[in-house]
Amino acid sequence: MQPKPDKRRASLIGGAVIGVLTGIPGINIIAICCCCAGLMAGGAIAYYVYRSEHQEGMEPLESADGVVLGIFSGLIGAVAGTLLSLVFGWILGHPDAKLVLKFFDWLESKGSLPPETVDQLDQLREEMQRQIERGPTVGKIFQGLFFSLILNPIFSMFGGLIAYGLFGKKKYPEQTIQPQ
Amino acid sequence: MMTRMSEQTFARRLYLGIIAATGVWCALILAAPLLAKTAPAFSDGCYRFFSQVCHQLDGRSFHFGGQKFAVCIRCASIYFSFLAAIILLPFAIHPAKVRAPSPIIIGAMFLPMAMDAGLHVLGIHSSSTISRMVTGTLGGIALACLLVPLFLETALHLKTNLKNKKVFYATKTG
Repeated sequence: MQPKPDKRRASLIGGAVIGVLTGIPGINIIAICCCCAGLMAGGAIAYYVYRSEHQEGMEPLESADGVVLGIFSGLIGAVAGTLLSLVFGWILGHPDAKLVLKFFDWLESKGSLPPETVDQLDQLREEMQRQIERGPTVGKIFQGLFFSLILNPIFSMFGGLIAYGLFGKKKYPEQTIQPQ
Repeated sequence: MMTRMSEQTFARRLYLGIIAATGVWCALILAAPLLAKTAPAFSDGCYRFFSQVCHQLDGRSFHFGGQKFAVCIRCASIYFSFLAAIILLPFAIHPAKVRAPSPIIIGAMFLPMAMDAGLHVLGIHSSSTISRMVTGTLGGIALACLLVPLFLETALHLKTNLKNKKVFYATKTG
């Protein structure tokens, strides 16, 4: 029986998906709002790619493959996401905070907010302005990377397992042994 | 017979480990508002940790003592129902005998949450606290039913593989 396909390509694809979904401003807000579906999607895609590479005569796929692919994708995705957010932050200058500030302006322009909410928004706006002026610190970058290195593999592993549960093993037509 | 016994013990221990890990996760969600005044640094750390996986919008979160939970209502419903489901599941079936339900059932349990969120984004339906709670709870139960058996299957498989490798190397060297 042939060995299973190499896991590196599938893990890299899954990690790239996680990196894009968590590292690009705007897209990362959608990914976070979907209850970490972006992280799970990376693990699931990695398993799906791996499954599509699996061929007849190879060792059968196992749930452990989904787990391993998910963990690797999550780790790659954590690094890729951090690098992407750094690059976008450097080019665009704290785009997430600017996007939120624009949203606050839009909310206030509607003019239907209660006074206490307006006060809270003003406080948040001041805090965000300070953050934009200060820029990302090395400590914050490493803190984000540290949290991502813990959280991404967990959720991505769940994604890999869910994909295994939903797509299952690859089925091949049963070979009939010809009587000699 | 002996192998079957050890497999069941391993499954039971692992299951308790999953419950403990999920319990810690849920406790951290609660610790953020509970310790906001007594241990603000720890509480702040919890908020930052969970900000990686949840939007934490104030208007969409449960509150305790004026402080919001570390995750939104939908996420909190998913995590707490997941915990409740894995605690209650062994009362119905032995951990070693739990099997993942069919993808159709899982899909049907996830569909309300997807519809609630999707239709809200499209502006067709306005999701409320109740709808987020109910659909999130269903999603959490579905996740528990799907993930826990697969996780146990994986762990048992890895354990057997490790054992076989040990026996292989022992016979090779001995």
